[in-house]
Amino acid sequence: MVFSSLLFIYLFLPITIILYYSVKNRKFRNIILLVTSLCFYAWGEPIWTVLLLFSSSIDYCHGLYIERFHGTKWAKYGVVSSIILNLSLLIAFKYSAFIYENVNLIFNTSFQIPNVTLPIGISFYTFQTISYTVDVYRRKVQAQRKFSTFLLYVSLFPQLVAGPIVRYSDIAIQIENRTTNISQISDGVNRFVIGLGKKVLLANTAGHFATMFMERSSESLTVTEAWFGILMFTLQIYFDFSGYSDMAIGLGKIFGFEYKENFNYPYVSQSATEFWRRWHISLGSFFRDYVYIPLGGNRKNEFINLMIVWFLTGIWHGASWNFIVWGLYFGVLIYLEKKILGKILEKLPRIVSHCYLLVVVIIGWTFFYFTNMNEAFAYLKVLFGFANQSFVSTELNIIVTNNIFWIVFAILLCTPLIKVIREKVCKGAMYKGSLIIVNIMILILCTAVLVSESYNPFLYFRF
Amino acid sequence: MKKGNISEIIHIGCMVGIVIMGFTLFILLPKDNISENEKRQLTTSPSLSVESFLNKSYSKQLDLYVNDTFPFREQFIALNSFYNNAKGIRSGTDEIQIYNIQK
Repeated sequence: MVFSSLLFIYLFLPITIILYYSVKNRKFRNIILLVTSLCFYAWGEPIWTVLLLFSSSIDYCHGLYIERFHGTKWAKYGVVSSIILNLSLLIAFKYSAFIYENVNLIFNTSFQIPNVTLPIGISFYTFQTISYTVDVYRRKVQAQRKFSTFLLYVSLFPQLVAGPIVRYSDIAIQIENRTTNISQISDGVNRFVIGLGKKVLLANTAGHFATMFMERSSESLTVTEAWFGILMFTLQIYFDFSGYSDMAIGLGKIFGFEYKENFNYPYVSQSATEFWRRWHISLGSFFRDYVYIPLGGNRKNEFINLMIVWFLTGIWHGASWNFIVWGLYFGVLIYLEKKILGKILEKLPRIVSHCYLLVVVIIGWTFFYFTNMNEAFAYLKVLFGFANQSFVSTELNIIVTNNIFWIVFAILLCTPLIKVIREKVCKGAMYKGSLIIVNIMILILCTAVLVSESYNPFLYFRF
Repeated sequence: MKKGNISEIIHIGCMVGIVIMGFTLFILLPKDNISENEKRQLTTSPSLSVESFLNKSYSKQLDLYVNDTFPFREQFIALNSFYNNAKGIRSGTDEIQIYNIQK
């Protein structure tokens, strides 16, 4: 089930909220959250719920084992075994087809490529459970004694399928002891509706335009169309992912959980380094704390450590070479920024370094979008005018004119402009009143768009 | 629960109210089988079985069923088309979408 569906908003969510707030006792509330979270997961992955339970029980046992043998070599073996088991599950389900394909290609063998479907959310919950066992080993948290509580941490539906990657250390206390107040619930509702709007009203429309142009063969694409296509993909991926994170954070708040922020206006950054401090923060900080720093960070073999981290960041996004190229591309840029580029960027006017970042990100998204590298390079050639394609197109002019308000609005929403206006101008009762009206409008408009997804006028005549 | 600000209570009340109203009306209102506008049969309520649940066909059909039989569907579709028209500037000749242009 996805958050941006009528089934979730109008059936699953009200039932869960009513059940949750119909009991006062935290223990019962946790049981309700656990059962509804497992139902939520089983709805989308009926069979692989078993895998979620299996993975959670492995880490639950490892946590207890590591704590039991703290300070001995057995604790170290425990943490290694937990990491190996978690990564093995991830590799088996996410990367086996990719590995087989490449082995076949390199060694000219003909192993049958396994047809494994990716269990939803495995990349997120595997990382969550790794962070748990490592943190128990580092004595940052105590091992959880109750399996149901540990399972609730792993399966909590707001963050289960698309992050953010929530660390056990951040919400252990909240699971056991949390209070909810009206302000927090109101904030949560607001955040959920904003996220829903980002996803349904912005990301889906941007995605429609991105596909329209990026799926075309590069020979029939004009330069402006190529820029428009990649710009729309740039908007789509941001609103889609940050919208989902907003919905997760909002849902968390409705049930009394405080998650850390996952996005902080990444497109206003002025360097790739800054961009990654603002984009998918929970993933970046995971790799920093659990890979980069343990490898030695910038104290020894900095370049190699960075390349390892960015190789992993790339491949985490998908089992395909283009993601690895995309990850390493950022790794190299960040290394260059650390060594020379950063000092130059600091001296340049803000607008120049900002343009540098946007171009760098847009080139990055081109690698991210096309799984076929030749297509990515062909697209980049059109983008930068090396393909001798015509510059403008009548079709694009019409699309831009027909959607000009939406385009300007979407671009403005990538910046903190509205936040600044809200903080400076809209204060007190005026802000609160307008917030209610705006949120009602967003919810009703999102419903209209979602209802219309099934609207197929005259497409097929079944009677 | 602490006593909250009145506007926050109104905010929560409005949003939860809309969602619960949608939920109640969906359960209570009679469902159309056919869409006159679209000249098609709307998705019917799926039947739940272990097999249909495990192979996800139940969840997929229920998704379609909810979308097809949502309360005030026609009005929401009209609102969506109003919203699409409000996204930019449209003049009479622009109404025809150009799909294929010979380059």
